[in-house]
Amino acid sequence: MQQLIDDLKSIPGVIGAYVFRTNQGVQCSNLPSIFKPERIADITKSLIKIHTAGKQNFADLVEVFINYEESMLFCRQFTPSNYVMAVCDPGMNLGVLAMSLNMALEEVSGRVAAEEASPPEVQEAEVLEQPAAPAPPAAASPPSFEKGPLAKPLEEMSKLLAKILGPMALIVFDDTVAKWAAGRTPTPSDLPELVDSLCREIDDSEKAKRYQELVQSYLPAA
Amino acid sequence: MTGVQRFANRIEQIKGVGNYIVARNDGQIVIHNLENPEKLTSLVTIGGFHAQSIQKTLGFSEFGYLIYIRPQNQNLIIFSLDKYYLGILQKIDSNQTQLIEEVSRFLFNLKNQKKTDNTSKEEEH
Repeated sequence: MQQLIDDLKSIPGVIGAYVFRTNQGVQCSNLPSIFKPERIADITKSLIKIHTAGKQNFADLVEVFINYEESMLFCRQFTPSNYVMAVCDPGMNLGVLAMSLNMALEEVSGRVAAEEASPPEVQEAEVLEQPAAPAPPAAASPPSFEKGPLAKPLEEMSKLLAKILGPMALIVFDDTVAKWAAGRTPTPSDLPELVDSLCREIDDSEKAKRYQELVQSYLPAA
Repeated sequence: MTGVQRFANRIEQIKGVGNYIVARNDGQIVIHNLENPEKLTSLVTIGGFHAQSIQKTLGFSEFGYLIYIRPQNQNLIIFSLDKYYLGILQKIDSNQTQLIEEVSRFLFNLKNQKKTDNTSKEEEH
């Protein structure tokens, strides 16, 4: 086991690794000392739950990767009760790690499985449905208003819509602007019409009223 | 067509996206293109929740994505978006790196837009 995790750690980009055995805990580890045992125990619990949930849905699950800005975590079950976990640099090539692990495990898996001397756990799982038919063709891009008299008001109106709708605003705004501008060259005097369309998209009278108040200063004087 | 449907349409247009599901962190389905979304919703929610638990334990920043690796790249990739999770089932033999980059860029733009606006609002006060 120690050889396995040492082999893994020798791969560029791997910070450290450990082996966890069900009901027995961490068997060996070469993670840096910053990873305290209690922290390793906590993240292992979560990793096992993530892996188990995946196994219940996908009988053919191979391994799990979780990417954070600071690091990447890896978890693979290599016998019914043994898991190898690794902490890697976020830019680590997943293919390199997987292939290196496959080679290192070839030697270890058989021996560990024999040591366990227990029948393999039968996990009932089903493979979820296959991917659907290809996605429809991409819609036409919204017209560009990066320059001209509409550039500034549209930029501000888009930002203000995000205050009302949150992250979905960008999509709603682009789409509404595309419809609004279709078949014509809009001018600032057409902006109230756009605001009306956006308010219909907001679909909440209070929020729509708030949006109208926010964008008022960007509309032409009545 | 609602904003969420438009969001879904944008996701569907990304190369390599097969099926998808958007679920709230309490497990409620927002939108999907699956025939039986319940099981995948549970997996997306549980996976996302525990990935965020690890993030808190280790003091990491927000998790970028979680990948369930399967043969022929039929992977399930889970992203977080505020209080939602987006789960994507990759098409067979599609390019995983490209898919992750495109989805991440798209979600980053959405999140960044919101953060920028919140900052502006705070500055106004």
